[in-house]
Amino acid sequence: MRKVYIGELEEVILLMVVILEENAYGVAITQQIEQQLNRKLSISAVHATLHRLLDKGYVDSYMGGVTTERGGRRKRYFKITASGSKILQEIQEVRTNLWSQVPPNALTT
Amino acid sequence: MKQHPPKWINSTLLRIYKNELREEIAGDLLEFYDIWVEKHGVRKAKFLYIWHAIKFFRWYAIKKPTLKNSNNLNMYSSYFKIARRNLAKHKAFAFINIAGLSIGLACCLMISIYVKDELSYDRFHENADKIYRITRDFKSPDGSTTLHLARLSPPFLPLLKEDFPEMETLTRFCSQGGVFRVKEKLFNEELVGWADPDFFKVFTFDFISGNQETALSDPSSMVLAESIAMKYFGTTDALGKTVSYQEKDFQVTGVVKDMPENSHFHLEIIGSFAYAENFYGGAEAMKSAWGENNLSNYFILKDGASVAQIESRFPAFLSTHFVEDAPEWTGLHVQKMTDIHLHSDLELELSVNSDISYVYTLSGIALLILIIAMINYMNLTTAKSANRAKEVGVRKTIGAGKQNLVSQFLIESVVLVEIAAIAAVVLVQFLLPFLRTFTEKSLSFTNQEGIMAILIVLSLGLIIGIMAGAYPAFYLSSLKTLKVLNGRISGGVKTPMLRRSLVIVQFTISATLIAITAIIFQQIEFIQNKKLGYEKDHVITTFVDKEVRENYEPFKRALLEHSSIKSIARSRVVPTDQLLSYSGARVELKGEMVKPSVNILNLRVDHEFLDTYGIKIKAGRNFDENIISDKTQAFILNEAAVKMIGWESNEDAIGRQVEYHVYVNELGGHLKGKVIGVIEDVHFESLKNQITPQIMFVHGSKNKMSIKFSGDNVFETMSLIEETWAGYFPNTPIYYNFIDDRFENLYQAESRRATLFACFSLLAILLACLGLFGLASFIVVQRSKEISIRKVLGATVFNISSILTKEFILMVGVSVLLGFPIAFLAMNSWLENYAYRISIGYLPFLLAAVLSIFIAVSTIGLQIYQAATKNPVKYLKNDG
Repeated sequence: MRKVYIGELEEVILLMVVILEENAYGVAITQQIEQQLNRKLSISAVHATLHRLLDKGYVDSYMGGVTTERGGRRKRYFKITASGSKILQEIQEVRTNLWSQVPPNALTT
Repeated sequence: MKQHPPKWINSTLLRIYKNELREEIAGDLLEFYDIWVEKHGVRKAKFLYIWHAIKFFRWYAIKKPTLKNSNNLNMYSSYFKIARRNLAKHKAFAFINIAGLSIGLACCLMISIYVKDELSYDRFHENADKIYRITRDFKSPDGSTTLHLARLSPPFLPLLKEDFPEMETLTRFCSQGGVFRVKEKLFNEELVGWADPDFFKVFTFDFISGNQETALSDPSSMVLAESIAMKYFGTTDALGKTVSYQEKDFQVTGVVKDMPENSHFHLEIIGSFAYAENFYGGAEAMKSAWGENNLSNYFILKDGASVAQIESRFPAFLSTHFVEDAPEWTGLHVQKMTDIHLHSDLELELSVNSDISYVYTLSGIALLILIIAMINYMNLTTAKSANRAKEVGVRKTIGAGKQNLVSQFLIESVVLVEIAAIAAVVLVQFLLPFLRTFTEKSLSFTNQEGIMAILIVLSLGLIIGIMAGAYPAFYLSSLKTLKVLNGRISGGVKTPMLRRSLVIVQFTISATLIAITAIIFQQIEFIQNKKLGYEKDHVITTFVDKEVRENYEPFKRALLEHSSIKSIARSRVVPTDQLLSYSGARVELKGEMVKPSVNILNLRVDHEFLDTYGIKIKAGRNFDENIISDKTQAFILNEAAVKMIGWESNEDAIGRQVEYHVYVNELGGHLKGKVIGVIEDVHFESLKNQITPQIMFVHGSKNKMSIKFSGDNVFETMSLIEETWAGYFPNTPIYYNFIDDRFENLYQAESRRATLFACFSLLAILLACLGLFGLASFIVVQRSKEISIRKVLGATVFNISSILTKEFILMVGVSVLLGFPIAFLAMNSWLENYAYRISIGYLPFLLAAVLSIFIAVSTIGLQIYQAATKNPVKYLKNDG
């Protein structure tokens, strides 16, 4: 299979899906990204990215139960898949590997 | 209280998103809405809600149309496939159809390009719709119009300016060319106008350099067209450079783009009107030059003013400013500038105009050609229907409704017509240069217009495809399933009525066009061979300028020493010119001096004039150089004048008293004298005009010279004339015309249009033949069994040929009979334009009949011969 490319925003959102565990849905992810990374994203951008990840098979989705908030509408929750976990780990490995090769004091501050 | 986001968003905007996504989108947005309300307040939250709702508009999220049943679509693609296969299978049939349609469409396209150009005249001026021209007519005592001039004399404009506030801006120009000098180089220019400063306010010119507002305000200013600036200075950057005309220096104050061709006047050099005053002998003399009608006058109509109102005040205006009784014999008129090219045919037009009737005629032909091409298609398709009948039967059995079949056949015809349309566009690309050379028009397309034209042609193709395809489609789709599957439908021994009438329509059109073309050419032939009363061959004419006038006699003597030069004459007008000059007159009739009922036009000539042109004297004598009184007291009239005045005979006219109201300084009064001669009626002008009463006298300026020479060695004679001219008039370049060329030019537009007409008629006939050919070939195949059986039973080739030909000849015969009255009526009204015309004889009709039948028979002949000579076994043995 062709190695699937994963973008930076996709990576961040994928991580958020993992972090938020059971509560990973559009609004929560958007707010977390805003709070933790100080990065303002529009809900539609997050939404589009999530669906892209869905297409690539890195996340799965399921509809939540009926809620009293948001006009009784259900939430779509996202969950990382095996291949999603794998790609995140790969990225992490590659990074660690690269970091380990950085000579001490090479990064000027 | 909890705020709600705008509800309509949910019901409208969100609808465009996929159903499975809508719930979460709406939910997420609502959650955010609450956050926004707290953060930014309700108003902004609402805005943000809408904004973010819109931002979901992404490819993955929007609903795509889904096809619940794709059968229709599949059928459509099947129709296209079948159409393609059918065309490929019946190549000859497809070729005839496509060739016919594309030729028809190409004709239509070319004609519409031509017509569009004709209709575009003078539209490029910004105020085109508000510009009007003022014209002037002269009436005879009996009420008939002697002249209607497109120009006015100089005193009018300043007075009109005062009296008619409805004329917002008035301008005028005088067109007079001549020799222009730049440094040492001389140029003879024809397209020269002398215009007043408001000229550029009325007409739109594209200034490359110079100031439009002030370009003509200085008396020595001059504006040049780009091409002239290039010719004189090699650059368009000519501001401030000097050009001389008649010893006066002019400064170039502007360079303009060359005028577009579709203009009723063409100027390349525009000089300040102040100089034109010299043509009338100064500003003062100009103010009273009521008789010198040579200025073109235009005005911009004020918004809301009416032309009729202006015209109704002209008579009063003339009596106040001109002479009391002026309205009785002269009048002013207003015409819209954009109408000039197609509706105006006055004397002293600035260029030869066209005629709206030609636009109509050509558009009619375009339509007829298109009809013929469409009939071809209809005929061939229905004729071939038997071949498709089985297909129709099978389709119907499988479940095709009438609607499906109709759309199938419509699609087929649209496909065919669109192919033809594309071929037509390509064809036009190749043919346009010919049309261009032929019509001497640029007929160009901008890219944008080209694309528009292609779109129009394609949509036209769609319409034509549907129109031409409708009959075959309904015909085929209405075939009875069982019948066709039983094989009981046959081509039939007889051609169906409708198909026959369509062929008749085609051949009626063709026969009519043949007859019309023949009559047009007869008339043109008649005009060109009509006895004119003068000899037009081997005569050249040239202008007599100041230098020529001063040195004329020695030049004449020197030239006449050569045997090849027969005679040299001077006159005010030469044959083929328009006769535009007349004055009031009184003539002796029954002992009294009376006013003739019709104005007599005058020609100023010298004693050599009649000999030079070989004009016959019917009674009396020519002017004599040696009789001094001939200079001011002798007149020669033409027979028309004698008849109009009412003298008993040409001889009776000799010696009669005549007063002609041309003021002569030396006499201190009008020209007065006796008739010394009467000449034969001569067609000075175009044969469209009746020969008018004319008078000749010697007095006055004669600015044209005619040289008659022997036709033995024209080339040598011309160089002899040129050399002698250069020797005597070094500062005036010679510029001459042959009278016979000028004569041809009078009818050039006519014969060109006739040729155009003939070409398109020919095409119409060709198309009709193409159709007939297709039809015949088909019928021959259809009847092959019948033919074979007849042969077996003993029919000869002749028998069979005549059986097959009879029907076609009958149809063509009916067409011819139908076409003739149409041709006769159309041509009769056309010929009424000519004062001298042929009467329509039987010859053109005979020609058309014979030609139509000949064409029809030779078209189908080969096919029929082949059918009649084939071995009958071939068709009979394979019958199952």
